Amino acid sequence: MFTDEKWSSSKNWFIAAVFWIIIGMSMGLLTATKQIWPELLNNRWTTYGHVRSAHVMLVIYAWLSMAYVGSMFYMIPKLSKTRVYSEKLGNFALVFYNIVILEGFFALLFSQTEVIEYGEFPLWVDVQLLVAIGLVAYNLFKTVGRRQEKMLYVSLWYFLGSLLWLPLTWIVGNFPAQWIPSGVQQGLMGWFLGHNAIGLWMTTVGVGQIYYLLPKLTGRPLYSHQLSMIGFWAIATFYVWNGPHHLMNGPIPGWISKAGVIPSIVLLIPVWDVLANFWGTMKGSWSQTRSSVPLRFTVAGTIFYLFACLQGPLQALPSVSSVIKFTHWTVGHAHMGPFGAFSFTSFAALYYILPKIVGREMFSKRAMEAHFWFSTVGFLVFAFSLWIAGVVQGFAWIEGVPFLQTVLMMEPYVQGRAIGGTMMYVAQFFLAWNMYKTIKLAKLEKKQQAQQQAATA
Amino acid sequence: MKKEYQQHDSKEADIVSGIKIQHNKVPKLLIAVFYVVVIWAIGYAIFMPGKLAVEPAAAPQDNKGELIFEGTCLSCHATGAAPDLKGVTDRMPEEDIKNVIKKGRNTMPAIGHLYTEKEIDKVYEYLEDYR
Repeated sequence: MFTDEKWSSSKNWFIAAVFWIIIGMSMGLLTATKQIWPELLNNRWTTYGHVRSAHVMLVIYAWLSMAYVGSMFYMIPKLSKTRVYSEKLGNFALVFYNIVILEGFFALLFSQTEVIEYGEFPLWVDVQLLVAIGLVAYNLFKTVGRRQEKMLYVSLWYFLGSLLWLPLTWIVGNFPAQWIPSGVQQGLMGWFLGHNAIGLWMTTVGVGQIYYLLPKLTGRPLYSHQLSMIGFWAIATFYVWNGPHHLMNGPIPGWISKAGVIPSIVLLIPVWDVLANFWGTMKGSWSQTRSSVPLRFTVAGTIFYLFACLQGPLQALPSVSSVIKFTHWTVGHAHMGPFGAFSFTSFAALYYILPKIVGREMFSKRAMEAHFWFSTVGFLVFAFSLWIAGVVQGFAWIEGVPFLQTVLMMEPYVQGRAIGGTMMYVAQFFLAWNMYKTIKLAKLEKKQQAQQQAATA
Repeated sequence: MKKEYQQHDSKEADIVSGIKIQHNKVPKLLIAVFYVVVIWAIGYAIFMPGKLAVEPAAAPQDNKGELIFEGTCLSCHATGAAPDLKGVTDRMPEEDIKNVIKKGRNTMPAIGHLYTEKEIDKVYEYLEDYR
């Protein structure tokens, strides 16, 4: 029933991912539009609260996670110099995972939620998703177990770490919260998932992608393997502590608060490690970004990663947090990692891997260019609207401006965000169309080749 | 592993899974940054409270009327959605104003159930000075 074809799981996970980025981002666009026209689609299923959480869950666990798994099903066997342990299992996991996501999506629209950021799916969906993640992790660990290369390249460290940490984070964030008393404890458990879904899954797989793509796309050696290892272990040690900074200035004990702030700042070490390695590897290759779209996506993604990780530690400081907390700023920041940095590296991975799998170049270079520019410019318009809005909003609250007046002040920025968001959304259609055409043409060409061979033989 | 690295010149590359890797030294600037971050972290852990120090507002109960007025009434009455309330106590008798607060009028909702009689008195007292 499930195909055993080489690289089929990688390809299929990518196809599903791109399907979900369209659905997930349309939920996001609807959320943004509702801030301008609150009456839009105002029925019991698509209220603001339902649509917003559906957007968050879909872009992270459907689009980004599937794109990650897709690239791991290619990169891990390549780095291990072996085949995927079981393509059949990979394809089965994909179908299962998609059913679970679909269940979660409808559960949210039917107002079943756990009200945990990045963990909104209800318990019965959580359990199934854990099984699906487990299947993927098992398959990929088995693949590495059969590797022909003794040394683990840095990307493998990152991928294997992430495949262990995601289930762990998922369990801690979703399950005990059902039994422990509500309040601060629940909030802290929830933010363990909230931050580590970003820190020990999105970031670590994304950085693994960067480390794989950079030397491949530029053809230059990785600057320093030792440096990359320092970065990996620093992230593994410190990222897990970052949850409490989301409850900064809240009713948590001072020592927990500090235990959140300090590791947030210490994170500068792994981030600067990655960036130093990035700069060292890129030296002399910058001009290639002009012609190679995947490389440009990788570079832009890495730079957004740097900026997200300059904002993040600062935001953890109590004084900064007191201004920007609960404002639009946070929303802008929250999009820079998952979209600006790691969706970009996933786009790069897709553009690098897909041609290799189907045996044909991407159908349209122009569509790739359009995808890049719409995504980048759209994101910048989107993010800067929100950042300016957040600062204005934060200081207006401190000055005691009546709340409704601060809402009215946000009008132009919210519109700017929706315009930027529309551009980001449109960009993904270039990706989807380009991918569809490439796969279809590749199939056609293979058929023709087979016919020709049959005719000449 | 460490020994293997040292045998190489820093410019010479190994090949792992078809990817060339070099063993350049960690840049000095980066090491300096690491030290600064670590020293900061220890200092922060020892000397800082980890929260924003907020001075408790003096006699918090005295301005109840003002708080309710700014938190609730101004949400509409400051934005042009509802009439300006400056000097409203000159235009309407006390009983009527309290009644409007409790039972609502035209588009204004009744909010009497949200506050005690005493709190509504406080709001009225505040309105007397609001002009």
